[in-house]
Amino acid sequence: MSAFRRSAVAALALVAPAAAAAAQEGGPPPKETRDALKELMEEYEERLEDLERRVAIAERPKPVLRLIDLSLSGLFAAGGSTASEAELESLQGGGHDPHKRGFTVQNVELAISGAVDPYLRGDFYLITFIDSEGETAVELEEAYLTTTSLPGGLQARVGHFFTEFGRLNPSHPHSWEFVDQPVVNTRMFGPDGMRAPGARLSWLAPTRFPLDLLATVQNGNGETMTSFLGTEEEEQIGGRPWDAPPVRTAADLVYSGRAQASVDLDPEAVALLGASGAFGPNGTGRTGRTRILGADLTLKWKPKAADQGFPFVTWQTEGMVRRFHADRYLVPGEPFFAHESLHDAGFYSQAVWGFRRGWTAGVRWDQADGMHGDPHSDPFRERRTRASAALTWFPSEFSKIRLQVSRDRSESLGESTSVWIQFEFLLGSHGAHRF
Amino acid sequence: MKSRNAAAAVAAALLLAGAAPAQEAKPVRVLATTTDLAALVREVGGDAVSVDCLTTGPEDPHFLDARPSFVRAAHDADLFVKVGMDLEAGYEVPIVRDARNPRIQPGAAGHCDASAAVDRLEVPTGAVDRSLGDVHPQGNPHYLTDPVRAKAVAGTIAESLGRVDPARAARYRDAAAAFSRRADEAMFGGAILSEVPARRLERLLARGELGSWLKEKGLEGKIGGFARALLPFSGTEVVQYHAHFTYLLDRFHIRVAANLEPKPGIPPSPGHVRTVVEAIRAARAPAILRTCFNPPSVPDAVAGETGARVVVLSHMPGAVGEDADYLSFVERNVRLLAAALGAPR
Repeated sequence: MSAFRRSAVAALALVAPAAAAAAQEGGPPPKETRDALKELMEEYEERLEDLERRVAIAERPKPVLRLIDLSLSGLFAAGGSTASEAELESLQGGGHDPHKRGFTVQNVELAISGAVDPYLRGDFYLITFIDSEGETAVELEEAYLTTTSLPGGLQARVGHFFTEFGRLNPSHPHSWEFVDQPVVNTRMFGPDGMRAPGARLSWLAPTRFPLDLLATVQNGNGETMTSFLGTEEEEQIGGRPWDAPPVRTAADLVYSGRAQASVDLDPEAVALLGASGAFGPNGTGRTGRTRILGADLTLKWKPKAADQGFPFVTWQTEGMVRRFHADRYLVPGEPFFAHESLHDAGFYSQAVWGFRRGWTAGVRWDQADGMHGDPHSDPFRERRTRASAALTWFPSEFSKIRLQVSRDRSESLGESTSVWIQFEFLLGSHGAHRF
Repeated sequence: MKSRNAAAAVAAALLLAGAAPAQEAKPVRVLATTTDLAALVREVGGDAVSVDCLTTGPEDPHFLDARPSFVRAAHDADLFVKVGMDLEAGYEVPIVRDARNPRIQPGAAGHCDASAAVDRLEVPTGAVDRSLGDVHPQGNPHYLTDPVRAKAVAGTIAESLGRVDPARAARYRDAAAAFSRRADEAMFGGAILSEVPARRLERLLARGELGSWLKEKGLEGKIGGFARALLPFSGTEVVQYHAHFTYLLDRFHIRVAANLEPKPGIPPSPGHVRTVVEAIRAARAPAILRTCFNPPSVPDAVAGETGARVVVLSHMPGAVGEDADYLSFVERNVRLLAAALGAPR
């Protein structure tokens, strides 16, 4: 018998005869009875409170140690075009754009991120895809550390990452609204976007409206820095030959900056404005320098009582200009190239309307052009326009099916029409994309 | 002579400085994710806090965009209060991580998970994955529709405010206790609380014995508040679009015959709607509950077929109309629910 029961029985044994006697007489129970009962009640009260406290603590959820968030996203396309495969290769310049009649494994991305310690966060993105020859390629997309607790509104990032230039360059293909990247991005940043090892400092300014100022320094070489030093021994922009000296000082690195501000137009609409610049050496010679400037404007509208985020309208426009100053090329036995400043410019404007839960319709206009040099015979500098329309169905937040039709007009290849179907799935816990 | 005057002057200055009135302590800046939490923070903090909220009322708290202005507000906050149980999973990380604010990082004193002391419902047993829809692996997070659980939340908020602002910790605890008393009065009415403690009434209600106990003790006339309005409907069955109001319904033993969503977050399919129509007929369910952001077409169609009424309840203060404070928000829901359940078919 438990201690509790024993004390109850003992108390009752003490009290019962007196209580019985009192009941027989018809009067109130005597004082000893009342005191004994009161003591018993107090003991019960204390034990119950203790029990309740212990149960409340036991019922609290056990915390889970979350070391790593892991996710895998797969992006696949199928389709064709009136352009031939060779023409498609130059028209669809993006490294992850579908550029094959038939099926393309655009991008399978493994993302790992997590809190390293109270001061740092780590992010890692590995992509693998199958190129048009059927070869598997594996690329380190991004791998970097970000601080979480620097004072003064500062945040630093170190590692290998997309340059924060404009809105599209830092984003990943599986988050795009269209199957391929805009022409201007391919021209300015190459097939894989501008990314390189480096460091970036960002400052959240103490203004009432959100204003973020970023300063980045990165290496200038590699296939992902096509407007700058680019790939050694390979042709530079405008068909200029490679002649760059080895990187010697800090002036041989690429410096970029960005200012981005946001204005809440009302609780349902936001405007995001940005201005970016990138400055650095290019591979044409000792005095070869490139400067890229960009501006972007994004307007987003979504009603307060949106059904799982629908309906919404997003309109995003980005424009860029590049001045590629090429050094003189004077090597005996080879053709001579004079000093030259090649200008290229372009923009895209896309509007996406989520008209029904799980459905979006998008239209995009793409335009790019080159001045000086000989743009007309260069597929990467000639005048080019493209109109695209896409219809996407999201069975859930983690998958999508997209149908896109594009009509392309370029000086050298004339007009062509392409139709693509794209599929995406996302497994695991992937962080939310930038707003 | 001069040095003594100078010394006297210095002493006088020091005395005056010491006697200057103590500066008013600055209000604690709190960022809450939902308006019900913001309302509770105001109840507990009073004028010692200045509250910002990521939502205004009609928004679906599962889906919020991490606007830059939210990140800015998080940067300035001393305390971040969230509903927890993965409700904010879609946007908490970009807002809190990029806020450059070490005070509100998870685990810090300024990060408050309001679900810490809440008794959870619908915690899944067994393995859970996305084939089950948008299942919440930690249970149903919409606990703030229940005024009894709100008392525990007020206590958690008071604890967090006390950690961030220890000088006024006692004041926050007292305010949470005062709110608990007001919540008890709104729940049962002042008359019966003078005779029976609220905790006893809550236990009886939880066991489904409150009605019969009141009758037995002859106290039926004294019950008031939400209990008086909804006790008569104990055992009634209703249909929800999504499990938003489960905690409020469960408090008063109003059962949920079916949800219009076949799985959480999946829109109603024609096959599933037929099942729900049959369930409504079998249970004689009088009401279909939805929020202001659930599309009305399917609930209206089902109501037309079965004769049940569609009721738009507030999932948080400000969803359906202006709510002065947390208890007004609950009162609006109780009133609408009682009217729908009591109306003749």
